[in-house]
Amino acid sequence: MIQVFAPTRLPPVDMREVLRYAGDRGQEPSTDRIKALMPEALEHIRGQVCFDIFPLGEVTPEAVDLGFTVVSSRSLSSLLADSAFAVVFGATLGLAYDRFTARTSRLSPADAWFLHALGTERIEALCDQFEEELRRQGHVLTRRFSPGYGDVPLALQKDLFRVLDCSRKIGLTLNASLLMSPSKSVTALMGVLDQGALDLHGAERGGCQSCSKTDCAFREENRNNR
Amino acid sequence: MLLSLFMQNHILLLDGGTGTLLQAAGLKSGESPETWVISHPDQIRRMHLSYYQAGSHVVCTDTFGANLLHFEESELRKIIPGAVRLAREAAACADPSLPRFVALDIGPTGQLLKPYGDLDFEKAVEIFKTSIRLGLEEGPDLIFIETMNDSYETKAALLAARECTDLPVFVSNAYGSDAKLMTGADPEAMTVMLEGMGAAAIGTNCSLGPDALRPVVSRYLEASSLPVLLKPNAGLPRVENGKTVYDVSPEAFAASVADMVRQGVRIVGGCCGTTPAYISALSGCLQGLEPVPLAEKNRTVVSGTSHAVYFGGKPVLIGERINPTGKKRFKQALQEHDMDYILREGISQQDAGADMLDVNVGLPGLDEAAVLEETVCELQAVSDLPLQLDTSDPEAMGRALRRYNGKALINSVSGKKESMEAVFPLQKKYGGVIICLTLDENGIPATAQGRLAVAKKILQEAARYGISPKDLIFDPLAMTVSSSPDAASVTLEAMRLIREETGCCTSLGVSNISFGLPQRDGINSTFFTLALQNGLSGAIMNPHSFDMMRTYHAFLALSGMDDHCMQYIAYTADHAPQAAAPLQAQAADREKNIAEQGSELQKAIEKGLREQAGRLAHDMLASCEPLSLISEHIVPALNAVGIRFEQKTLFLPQLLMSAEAAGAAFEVIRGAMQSTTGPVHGPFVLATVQGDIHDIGKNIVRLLLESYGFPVIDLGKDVPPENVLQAVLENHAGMCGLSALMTTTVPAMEDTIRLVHEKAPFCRVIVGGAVLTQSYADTIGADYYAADAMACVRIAQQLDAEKA
Repeated sequence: MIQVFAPTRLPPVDMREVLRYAGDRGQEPSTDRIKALMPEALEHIRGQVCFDIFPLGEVTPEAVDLGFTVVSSRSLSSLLADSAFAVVFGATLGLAYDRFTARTSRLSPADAWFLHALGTERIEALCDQFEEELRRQGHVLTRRFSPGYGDVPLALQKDLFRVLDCSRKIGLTLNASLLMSPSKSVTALMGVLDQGALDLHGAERGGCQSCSKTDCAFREENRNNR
Repeated sequence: MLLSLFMQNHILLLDGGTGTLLQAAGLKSGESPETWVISHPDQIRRMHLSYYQAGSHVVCTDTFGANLLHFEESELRKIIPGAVRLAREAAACADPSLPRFVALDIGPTGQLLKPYGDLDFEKAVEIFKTSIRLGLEEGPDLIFIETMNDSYETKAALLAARECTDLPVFVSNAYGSDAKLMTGADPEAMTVMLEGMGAAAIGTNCSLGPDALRPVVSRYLEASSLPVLLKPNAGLPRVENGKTVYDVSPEAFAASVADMVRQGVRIVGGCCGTTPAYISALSGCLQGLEPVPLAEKNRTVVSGTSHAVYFGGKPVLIGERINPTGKKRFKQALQEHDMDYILREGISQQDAGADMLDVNVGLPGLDEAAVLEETVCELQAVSDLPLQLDTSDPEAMGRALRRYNGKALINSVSGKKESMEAVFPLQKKYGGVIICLTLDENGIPATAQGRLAVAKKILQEAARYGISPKDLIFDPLAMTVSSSPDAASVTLEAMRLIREETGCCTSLGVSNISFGLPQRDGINSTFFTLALQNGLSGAIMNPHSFDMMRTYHAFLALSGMDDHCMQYIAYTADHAPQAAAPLQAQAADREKNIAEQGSELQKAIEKGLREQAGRLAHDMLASCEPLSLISEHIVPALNAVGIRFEQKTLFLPQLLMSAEAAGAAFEVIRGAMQSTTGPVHGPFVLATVQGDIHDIGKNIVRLLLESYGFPVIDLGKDVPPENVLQAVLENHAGMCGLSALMTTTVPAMEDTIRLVHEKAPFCRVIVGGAVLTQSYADTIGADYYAADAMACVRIAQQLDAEKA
């Protein structure tokens, strides 16, 4: 089942990261301008993540069966080699941020560039926050991997959008060139190394209720009874 | 039984979720429910029947995602008529004691429209029309446009439906927990736009459970004169013991929805997570409930991309600055297609406190229809204020209204037969409030009574088109007081009469009154006070005028529309008249020689101080030739920062800020030049290639090129190869810059290069963008690769030097 994670607030802004995305290569530039922009810019951010979890099929060194599609990618195979499940997610800062950036670019391309850098830092922070939330729930995760990384085909985007219903869930869309709108968005997948992932994914895939060992301490109804 | 008749005195019960039931029947994750119309028709028919048996009057066909972006047309030909047939067959099997209707279901395309995505508005309209026409073949009773989370796409779908059929169209939007659509519109904005375009019912579905949607529903009920619909989810989903469950039970759902029916909702059903059990429970709760009578709200309202603006309460300020009349610099911007300049006029008026913006781009020799349409779309991308479309060309008005996102203010119609015949049909079709000038074939009546008579004639004629008085605003025309002494009193009297006798709102172009007089703001602001006192609802004015804005804020304070005068205090604190600089300091400034000023200008540019650079350039123009100002002071400053950037001792944004400061100095110089001297350098055509919607890198290249004196023809983003070629040919541009972000758009870049090389061999193509490298650029046939914006400037300089 597709779920939505929409935190009321994002983690604090990491200014060093913002400057790095803006092109700082050790010049230690002034942050006055970006600090002046930030309060209004942050008001235009509405971070949302939609995600689902899938039991992995066969993982060979060349390809991974994600359940909804088979991906030919050595790097993804090695990432998911020890995982039983994959979390697939789409994250976005929302369209208001694009609007604000478009408006700002008409007034000051320099400010727009700072917003671009801030937005990049923020979307990564949202992804980190989402991962953190899953970890807090006790899941052991691999690092995240996006279509276009390494040898993971960008065309995988189409499949991710299909199974995540991103446009309906969080207003994230994909165009024919495989570009995402709103522009400050990320799609990615992560391997889940633990069995607790059963809690996250839907009944249609079986789950531990189907097991005959009814007195198991990890059986979900037993855990819930405690 | 006819749907409209049944709705007059019954609550209309829709169906519940589709996906929920089909997943239970075996639909896989990521599989399209629409394909089941062909592969599992019995399951679909059974689902519809189960809703009818649970009490639904209406079921929605299984066509939510059945459109050309998801299916081939040949597939749609089978799916959509088949889906309507299955619903019809289910209706025939259902217990005949209730009327059974079939709604052709239309969901969103899943793509974002321009300017934030790349789906063209007209293409979206065509996509919806294809689906709707196929559905109409099997005779549904209504069109149900649902789960729309973008106001613009909603407009495209409703327009498509209205251009295909006279059947009732229900329009339902999906709101976030902030009571806004994904693209920013609130319930009031959606209400006015959809009412204006002829929807039969409006409301909300999906996203949240019934209680969470209560605030959205209340706002609909408060704003809408149409029946309001509600089709919420069964709350929020979660996984429990490996099963997906929703947190609102059928009984709680039914009680909550029924409660909103008591508040005035007339059409109800369920969305995600709801099943026949929910509809059955709801049907039970609705027994014996009478629909609350509809009330005509009778408000004069327009809307932009996010919110509505009401006339008749607090006076509405309509910024007048987007207009070439009497403005040399604005005319130049229009001729040079300098959209940034025009948009900045809009943004600065919004920042100055305008509630709306007037948009007039009429200039002899310009294709007004094309320019107005483009300006409206571009403005709506950067400003959420409602717009007043100001043109006397019906073609321009029609095209701008069609593309307008919201309910526009139409400026204007007069009592002339020809004018009314041209404009009222447009207003009827696209919605809108219209400014009615109280003049006709006999000119402007000299008396207030005469203007009232014209107003009454316009009201009558509008009624013949089905346009309600609430959508008319009368402008009793402010004439120049210097040529006719009673100009102000006749206008004010006409205004009062029109308000009293027709009940309609009024507006005025306030500034006309003072033509030919000195210190026009004095006359304007006093006349503004008088007009406000006489009940003026909207004023077309200059929000940058301190006198006018102070008058406005003072009026609000004096008429009880400004709590504790807080806004007045805030305004005056921010806008205290600036004390004149001490005379001595001024004299000292004047005595500075040009060399000192020049080095200060260079410093200002190197430090990226925009205002200071503009001011210094202005001062220096008194004793310095514009061209030497550029070559001796601005260019050396830019070169200094450019070199530091290339040596990696300067941070990119600092380079950009310097370019902006240089731009401010150029702007001043440009204003001072009598005529634009021929460009120093050859023109540079710049574009982000087709399919690519990222323009930040391209904008930076443009900024730097312009600051180095290259005239740039910026074609924007997502530009087809033919358009690039056309611009190169028209401007005989020797240089063309193309940007692409991703590997998927590089083929479009390659196509563009090939076309330009073939048809415009004189043009050198420079490419750049995240995925490009020198070898990649070579592979696709580019003449040059620019690793960053500064590199692009260097290539342009080199090419220019070779040519010279």
